[in-house]
Amino acid sequence: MRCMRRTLAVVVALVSVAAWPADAAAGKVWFLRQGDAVAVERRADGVAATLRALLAGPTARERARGLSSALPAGVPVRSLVIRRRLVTLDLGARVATVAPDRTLRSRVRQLVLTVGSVRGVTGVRVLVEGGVPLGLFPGVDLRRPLRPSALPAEPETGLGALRQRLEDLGFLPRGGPDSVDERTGVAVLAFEKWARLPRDGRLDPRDISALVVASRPRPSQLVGPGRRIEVSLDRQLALLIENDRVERAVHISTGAPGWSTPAGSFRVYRKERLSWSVPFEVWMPWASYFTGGIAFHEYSYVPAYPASHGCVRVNSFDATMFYDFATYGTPVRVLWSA
Amino acid sequence: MSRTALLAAALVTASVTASGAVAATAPTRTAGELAVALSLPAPGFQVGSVRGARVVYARGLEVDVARVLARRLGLARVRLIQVRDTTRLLAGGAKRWDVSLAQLVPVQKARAVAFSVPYLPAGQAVLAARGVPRPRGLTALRRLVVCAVRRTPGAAFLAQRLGTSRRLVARDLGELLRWTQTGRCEAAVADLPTLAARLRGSGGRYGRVVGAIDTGDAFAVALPAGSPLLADVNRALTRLRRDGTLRRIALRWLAFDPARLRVLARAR
Repeated sequence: MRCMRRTLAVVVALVSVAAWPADAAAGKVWFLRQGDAVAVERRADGVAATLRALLAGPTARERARGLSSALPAGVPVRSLVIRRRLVTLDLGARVATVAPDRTLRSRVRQLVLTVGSVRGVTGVRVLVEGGVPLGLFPGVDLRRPLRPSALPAEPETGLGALRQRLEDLGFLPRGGPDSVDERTGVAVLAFEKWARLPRDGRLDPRDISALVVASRPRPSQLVGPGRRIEVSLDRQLALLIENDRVERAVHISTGAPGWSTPAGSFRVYRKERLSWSVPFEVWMPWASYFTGGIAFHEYSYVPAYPASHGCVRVNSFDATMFYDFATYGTPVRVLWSA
Repeated sequence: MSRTALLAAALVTASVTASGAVAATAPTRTAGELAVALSLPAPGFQVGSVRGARVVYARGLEVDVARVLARRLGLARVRLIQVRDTTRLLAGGAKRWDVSLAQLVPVQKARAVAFSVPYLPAGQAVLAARGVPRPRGLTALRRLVVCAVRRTPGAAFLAQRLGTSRRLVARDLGELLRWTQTGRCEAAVADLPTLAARLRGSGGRYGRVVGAIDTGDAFAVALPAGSPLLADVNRALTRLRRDGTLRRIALRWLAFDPARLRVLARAR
């Protein structure tokens, strides 16, 4: 009886697929590169052939180019039915083998993007062993058909989630706008400096992978209650610390070669909202001096490398916050490496 | 010795020999089959796929417990049934199942069902963020920024027992774990079984579970009130706990065995 039912399902599938208008154009199959879905072209006509191409996985050449598939090898297709432009895929339990949540979500993403990209398909329904999956693919509701355009954002790596994470880690201030703006780029740069990643201020897959598992920066040493500032010359980062906890990590630029910012322990001794640099004839807003003529101050150009004449340039987004934090007498430690 | 006495002795010997299976003919609704009510999904405990009320594929801690329980009861088959609303499991009316495993904590009010001995502790767990020294009691916990999910027993515990101003309330477990990972929280109090399932495969990025808060709660198997199966289920579960089977199942699906956690405090 069971065998007969399966034969029937295959027949339904074949009839349905045959009834579908053949698409002579090359199909698109979605694989993964560093966690992101990437489309590759395949000579595949219609849903069944495109699905077969997906389940076959990337070619050796594509693998060498860094493409992979979250779908395990040998996922059985129990049936494939197309009705009113809605594709119902019934797959074997192998499609849901135990894996990290993100991998499980990627499986659904690959299936829906691939099958949904076939011309004429308006939705994709995924069944496992003939039933509606409940909890097998965390974060994806498969009780209803999915459209490629309406796939849920990856909870950990969506832009909003990443921005939130930068806030949680102290690279962005709390309560800022929800949008991803220039300020987010500055926070990304600060994170890249802390994580010792290439400093370009852009969230690439390597940054995202590091961000997802990152923990809050820690001070170089624990000294107890009170406020202090640690400046890391090699990372080009200032840590604003309160009670041994890093409240904010700020992107800065210290003295260029030949104008090095002196390492050592100091205290903020002079503060000026708008300071005039006599030797360099330039205004320095929000200046907090901590040794001689060396100060933290706002500057319009804060590159990812040491570029100043000895002062610590602070980006415009963080300058007033930095000024308020660095009250008179605040200890400042400038370290070669932290 | 009379023939009757010999027969009685033989029967006793046979029953002792067959002690591995609690009852060769466990009194179930359908002979040889255990009908198990689940309430999918509960990550780590029961996930799968359903067609109508029939669970066609399932896996998780409670699914494994149901299967070993059936084996111990001498039943060859397990039929899994989906009951979407867990309150229906405990409500009155005819039951289509023999036992139910759905993260159920025994409650006095549920008169329509009887509960077995517990199979898993279900109190609260204390998670310490990375780099935070292990708190060994409530006093140490009070010195930390401690978080919980709002409107949970964890949040109530923070308010009633910790009495510290250094506490934060997260919207959900995802936010709580993010805060713990990123250092906004130094410790967190959360539902023990849920946390144990969520931390599995996380590679320690959220910190480590350092102890439990005993609330007196535990998961138990529910049976229809007056079920003749109750004594057999209790015996089987006791044996499964003693021989380490429950521990092995817990370690298969959870990040740690909840029964082995050090108790830091009692909620009641």
